[in-house]
Amino acid sequence: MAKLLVIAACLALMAPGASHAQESPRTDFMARKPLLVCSTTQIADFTRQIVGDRCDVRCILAPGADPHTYMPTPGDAQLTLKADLCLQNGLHLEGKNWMAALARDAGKPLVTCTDGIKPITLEQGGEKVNDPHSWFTPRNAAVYVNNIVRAVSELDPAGKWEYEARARLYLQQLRALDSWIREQFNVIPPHKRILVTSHDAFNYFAEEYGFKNRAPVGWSTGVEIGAGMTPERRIQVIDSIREFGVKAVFVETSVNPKLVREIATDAGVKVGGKLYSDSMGESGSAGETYIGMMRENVLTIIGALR
Amino acid sequence: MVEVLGEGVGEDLLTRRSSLILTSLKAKRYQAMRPVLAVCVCFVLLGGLALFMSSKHEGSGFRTVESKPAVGGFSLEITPSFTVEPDPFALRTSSGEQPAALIVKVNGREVLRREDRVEGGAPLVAQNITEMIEGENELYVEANPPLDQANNAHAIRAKVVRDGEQIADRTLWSEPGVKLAATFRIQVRPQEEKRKDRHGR
Repeated sequence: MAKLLVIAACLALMAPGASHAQESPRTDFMARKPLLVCSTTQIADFTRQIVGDRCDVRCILAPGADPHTYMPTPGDAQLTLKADLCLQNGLHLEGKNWMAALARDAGKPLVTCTDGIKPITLEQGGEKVNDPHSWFTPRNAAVYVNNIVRAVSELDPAGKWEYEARARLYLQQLRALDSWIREQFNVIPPHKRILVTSHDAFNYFAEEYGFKNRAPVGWSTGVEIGAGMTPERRIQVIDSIREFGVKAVFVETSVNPKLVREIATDAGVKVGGKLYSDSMGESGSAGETYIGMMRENVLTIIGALR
Repeated sequence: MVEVLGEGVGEDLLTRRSSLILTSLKAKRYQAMRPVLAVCVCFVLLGGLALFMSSKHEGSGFRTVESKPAVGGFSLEITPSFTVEPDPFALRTSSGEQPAALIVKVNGREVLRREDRVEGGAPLVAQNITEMIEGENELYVEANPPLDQANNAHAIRAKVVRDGEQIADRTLWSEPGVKLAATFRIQVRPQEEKRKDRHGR
């Protein structure tokens, strides 16, 4: 009789839980979180801001890694095999389209977050290329956010309202960030707004906030057309520094600082600090989020150029 | 006497044996019935639980309040003191969706939307608003200033008119660095009360 009662009690306890799980799609979905695999740290941060804890967001690039020269590992392929959705920057930021190749090989859907962005076209060596560093303005970041919201809402329709609500808040934060950047840069006179960095990553940022951008290395640190360092570019950068009386040059977190340090010595200017460029900061650092990264970059630039 | 006793003992043994056989048969049947009994107990427990849950919902104290549409012709006049532009930070749930420059909602329903640039100082009017109800109404106004003016505080004037008579006039402000997004509430009285008021009661 005791056994009978135990069996009955167990069944009775299990049954309401099961029926509740059927009623609530959220609980059912949470049992197995969708896995979203992102190529860069910026995209992973945007995605986390939108999905919260409802999905598992993983990033292929580690903080500080260079997306132009990255070579996917077998571990990346394993991770992509488990993914429900893959997200990439596009515009050839991922050198040799490594993220698209990973998603294609694993047979997973791929979202390109730069879809809908008006790219800046760079002309280098007679070739035209679209600059992939489009996340460097909060206005473009909003386009990334909207693309991600649509993709995750399609993947998990039950969570759509949640994703949209989080996105609304995050878009407000991006707007506030944009407004704050404009206010901060007001202390640097327009003729002193020259940004010399390791590689040509800050074109969108420069255009949005009235800077002239100079870099010894082209749009990519890899081997693509218009990428890499040329002696002509190096001479142009040193000439610009002298011509505009630039106070400082900047190294980047994801690029070897050796070249910029040499240029600073040659031109007789100081290194103004380290900017987050193709990758965000380590977990626990001020630049571990997109907003933090942008904030720290702005403060570093102002500290060196004001 | 011995025979009588012998017969009595024999009968007793027979009775005991048959009762033992009966008991073991009952026990076997009972064992076979156990799962069925377990399912029955489950149903009883689950049924009780379901009944309890449904009665809990019924008796939770919530009641549906039906709102009566307000009688009369309502219109809104919105005058931004600044140029409004399509919002580059707007949420776009579909790829073809255009971002709004200005949105006005009454009780959660959109009554005015502009997706183009609107110069400051020009009044925008929404006529024949049917979303007003008797009692408390909430109006939501959202307007996006140009990015290069985002660091200023901005203001919008909103007027609500009922049958040609102004019933609300509010100025809504934004903080610097954000778009203007504000709500305000107005009470709309039933038509009878309004008439009584006019006649001095």
